[in-house]
Amino acid sequence: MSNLILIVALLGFAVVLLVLLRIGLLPHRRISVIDAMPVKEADRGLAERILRALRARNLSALILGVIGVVAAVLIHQAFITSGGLGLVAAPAGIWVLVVLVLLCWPIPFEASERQRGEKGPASASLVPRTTRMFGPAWGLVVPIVLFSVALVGILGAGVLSSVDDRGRYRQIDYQTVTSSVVDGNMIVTDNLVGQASAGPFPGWYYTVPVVVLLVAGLGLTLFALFGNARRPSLRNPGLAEFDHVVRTHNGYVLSSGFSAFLCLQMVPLLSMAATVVYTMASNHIYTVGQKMDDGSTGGVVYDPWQVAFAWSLGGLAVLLLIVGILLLGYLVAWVAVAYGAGSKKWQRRVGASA
Amino acid sequence: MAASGWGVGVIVIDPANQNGPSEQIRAQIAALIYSGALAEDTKLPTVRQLAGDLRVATGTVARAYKELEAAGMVRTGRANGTKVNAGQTLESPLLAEVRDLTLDAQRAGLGLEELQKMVEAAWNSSISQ
Repeated sequence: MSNLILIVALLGFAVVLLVLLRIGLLPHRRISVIDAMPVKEADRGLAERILRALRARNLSALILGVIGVVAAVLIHQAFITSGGLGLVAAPAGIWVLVVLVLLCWPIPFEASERQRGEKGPASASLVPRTTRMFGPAWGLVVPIVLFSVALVGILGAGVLSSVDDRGRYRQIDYQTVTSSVVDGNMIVTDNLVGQASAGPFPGWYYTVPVVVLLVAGLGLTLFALFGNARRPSLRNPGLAEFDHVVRTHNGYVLSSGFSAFLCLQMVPLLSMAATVVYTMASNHIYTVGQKMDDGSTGGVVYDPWQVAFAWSLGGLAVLLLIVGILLLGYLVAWVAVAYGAGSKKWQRRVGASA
Repeated sequence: MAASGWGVGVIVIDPANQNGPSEQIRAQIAALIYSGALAEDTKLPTVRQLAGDLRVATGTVARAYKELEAAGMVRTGRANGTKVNAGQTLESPLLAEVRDLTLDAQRAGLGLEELQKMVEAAWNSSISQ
């Protein structure tokens, strides 16, 4: 049953993403790599080589991302006693795989040996390149702020966590009314406060692997973003605009990708925390003076502050899910740009063939 | 094009040029500073960036930067990178004449190389006189 819910959730996620892309809800200010292709025949060899590499690495990263999702589900099924660790850490893990593909598959900056021929003059702009020049204005700030906030929350949850019966830090202890004192006539005279625990809570059991993967993801993303600016420019000044568009494309893919997966990573952790806090907020209490008959239960009392906190955490999880899906749609749309989507020339071609 | 920053200043290394790459870099940056194309406090790219773009060793660019620094045209700070010093623009009618000469050459349909050869010939004949 849980597997069915998981599959339905993943399919729903994919459908929402497709609908977002189809109805064009995402802003269309993407620069088309196809439109930036040089007109001169002499310049096209290298540009086409770069475009092929861009398409291949983006497609490989996407395929690996999908394989990562399937692998996370299979790992979850194979290790069902792991408490869903594979699924919880999946977004950060998948991003590490994706960014590794992007890092290990560099964008060429030189024509192939066959195309190159004799080494001609090389030109360079005297403008220092920075990561901010290529990609969204929030390209570095948002991922770092999101990461910092996530880290503080994760560490806080880890500190509050306690061990379950298997010795895993995946629950939280809290004070609550655990028993009632009754007199000889079975009348409740007092409620006694004791320790209880609730879970699954995003304790160290979940957060340590997530933090390790997030730190690796952030480090690799920053390395890739700096590498994007550091990559030598193309030898021919006629390809300067194309080079700039390719770097911008890469910057957007990296920034929106990491931000999306960071948002999606926080969703399971926040959902777990919200559920546990809601459980902590409810209490079955017998009222003092109530007669405890056989089978009677106490009334459910909710702590309003904890309920509000639980709803806030749940609301934040939903918000981050929406932002994550939007950013993922943004990422897919940017990747699609390398295949001609959004290109005026491409649209004309499609229109002509229809 | 402006977004990519290529309009501000572009230097070219020609393997066929008899001057070495380091001298070509130094001369072109110096010319851009003298002409005012690189204004005061303009930050130059890092040695690594320029070396990568021009496909030369980092030592080659570092040598050019050192010579520019020795000539007082640029300064290098540990954290600020290399910046153009103040008062380096040539405030002389010569610059305006060079611009006029360039425009005249373009109107006459001359290429840069041809103009350079003409200037070189004029320079050599003035030395021999």
